Amino acid sequence: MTASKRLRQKIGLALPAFGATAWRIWDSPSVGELYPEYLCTMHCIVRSSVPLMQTAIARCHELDGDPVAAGVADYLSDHVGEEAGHDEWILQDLEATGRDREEPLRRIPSPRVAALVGSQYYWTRHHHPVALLGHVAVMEGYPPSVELARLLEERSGYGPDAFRSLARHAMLDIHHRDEFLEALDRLPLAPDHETLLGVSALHTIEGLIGVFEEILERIPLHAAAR
Amino acid sequence: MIAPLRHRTFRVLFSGQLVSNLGDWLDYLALVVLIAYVWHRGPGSLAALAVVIAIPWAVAAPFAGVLADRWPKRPVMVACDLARAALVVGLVFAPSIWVLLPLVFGKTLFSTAFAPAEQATIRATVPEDDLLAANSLSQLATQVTKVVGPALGGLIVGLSSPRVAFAVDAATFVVSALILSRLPRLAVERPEEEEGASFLGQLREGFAFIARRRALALAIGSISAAVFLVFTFDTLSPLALRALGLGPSLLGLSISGIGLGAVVGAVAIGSFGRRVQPFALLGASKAIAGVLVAVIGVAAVVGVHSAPAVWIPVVLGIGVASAGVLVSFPTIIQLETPPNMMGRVSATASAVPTVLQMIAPLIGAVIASAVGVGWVLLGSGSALAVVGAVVFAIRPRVGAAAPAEKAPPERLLALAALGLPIAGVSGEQRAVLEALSEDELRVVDDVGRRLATATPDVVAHEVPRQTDPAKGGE
Repeated sequence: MTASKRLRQKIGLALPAFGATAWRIWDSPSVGELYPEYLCTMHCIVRSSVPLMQTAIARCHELDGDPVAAGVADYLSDHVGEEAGHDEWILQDLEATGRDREEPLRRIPSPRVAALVGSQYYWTRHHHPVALLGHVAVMEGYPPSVELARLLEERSGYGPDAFRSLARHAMLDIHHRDEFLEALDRLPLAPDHETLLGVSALHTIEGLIGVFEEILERIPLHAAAR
Repeated sequence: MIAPLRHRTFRVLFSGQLVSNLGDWLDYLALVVLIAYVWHRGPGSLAALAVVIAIPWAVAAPFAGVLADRWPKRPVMVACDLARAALVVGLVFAPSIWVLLPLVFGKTLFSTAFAPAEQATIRATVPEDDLLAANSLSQLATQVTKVVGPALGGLIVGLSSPRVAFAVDAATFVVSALILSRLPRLAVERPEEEEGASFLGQLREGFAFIARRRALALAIGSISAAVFLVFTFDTLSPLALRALGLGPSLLGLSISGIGLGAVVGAVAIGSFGRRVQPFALLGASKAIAGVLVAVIGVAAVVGVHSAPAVWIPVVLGIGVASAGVLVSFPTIIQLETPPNMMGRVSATASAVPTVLQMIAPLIGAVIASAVGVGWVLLGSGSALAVVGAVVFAIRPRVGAAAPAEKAPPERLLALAALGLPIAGVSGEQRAVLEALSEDELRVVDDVGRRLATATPDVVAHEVPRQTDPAKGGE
């Protein structure tokens, strides 16, 4: 079994719980109110992707002579350009829902968002940058289905312009996922690296669940229902 | 089979190996021609050549292995290649055997330092899942250059002189050094207990490490036995052919047949051998080779004289089986050895068989003189088959599977307690779950409490709806 399969096996343990939380948003009768909140929160996460990868690349270069770090740097250097501008897509979608595109930038990112992203900075800076690939494995390893954008369009009442980011990720992330899995299997990972990948990936799922619950709590109907 | 070539480091190493292997064969042929045909020296000089080539591998290799573990790999390999190039340039101008032998000794000495550094680099940079295929490719390169090298060497020596072949060999080492200089700098972490350890202390730790690891001891012990048994009859091959009523012209064909079988075997193992347990491959290959050699022995003892074509499958089979041994053995060594010990372990793994390889032909010759060459083949082949069967029967687990073997079974019980359906998972999936760390399990535990809220009735976000929690997203 390859390293990527072992990692996805571990992710598979926690993913259903995240799926259940996500579907509480998509199935909600208040999805029209929840969706802009989702976009604001996702912008806080996604706008950190490129700087986080750049931090990891710089850290990899500091670890001169570490073959795993060299492999991580190669992958991220190829991939970082593909992530650029995705935060702007989210702002455009938010604008299409009729909300102010500056809103996510004015808000203080919640402690849960900071914990989700900040932990990756910590592991990258103070342990080993391969940790970031555990995060990437979750964020890009399970693209939304192409039907999701259409379903949300029907349920929320927003036009297709509000779901371009989801639709694009449904297409692009399949390619990104395959590239990522191949890159992961090329790394000479030791058991400790694989454990770190597993902890990082599982922590990312746990963090996403917390962030999505926070989105639900912002809408009174859901806060009362809990 | 070519999957390991995706890894840049292995690609660079493999390119260097191809070039320098080719040069080595040019070099060997030129040495023999220079000694036997140009200087008209006798068997004593050829034996001396064999000794100066073998001694460094038997005596110096374990010490070179320590250096390979202590020093950075890339500079060691590049320096060894450049030193070998300089020594081979010396061969171009060697006026007599007394100058030639020290130069060959020196060149082999640098080879003993190069090989463990190369093995340590492969171990540190090729993922464990690709090691078998990487060794298959290396074996394929060895076999192909064994065919092409002497032919090319013969052409160069025939058209010009052995000294031109030396010059070409020196050039191949320079090219290899240039290729290897493109390797990334490789830092291998050394455990705290090794910090400040003396040279001899590290040498002792290398031997102790092999003695402690059952799989390593079994692999090195069984390969040593196999090498000893093979070399009792290897040099007697021409006599065996005569006993079978086959002409001398078939000697070259039978060597080529074994080479062809080894190429086929290396390709097959590299393409389909990933799922085969390395010890099962090692044991089965030895057993098959042993049985086939014993069959030849029986025929020689009984005096069976059959058409040469009858022996084609036997010769090919021995070649295929030899590939099984030569690919599985380094794979076991690499899987069982941490990167910081790889130099010492791989050097020791080559030193022990080399010593036996020097003794075995003498013993084989004595026995053949007493009872005949057929009995040597029958006895050694049968013993090799028994060694193979024992290895196959024991076949300890190696490599990536080992941590799972040691992991406490409580992992599965803990996952089951979280409500994860673990009953239907495959053996491989079970191994991953059993090997979960405390931290991973703690996060799964936190997340697992949320599983009860799952709502399986809406289809859109593909993964959560299609994933069995315990089986992952595959």
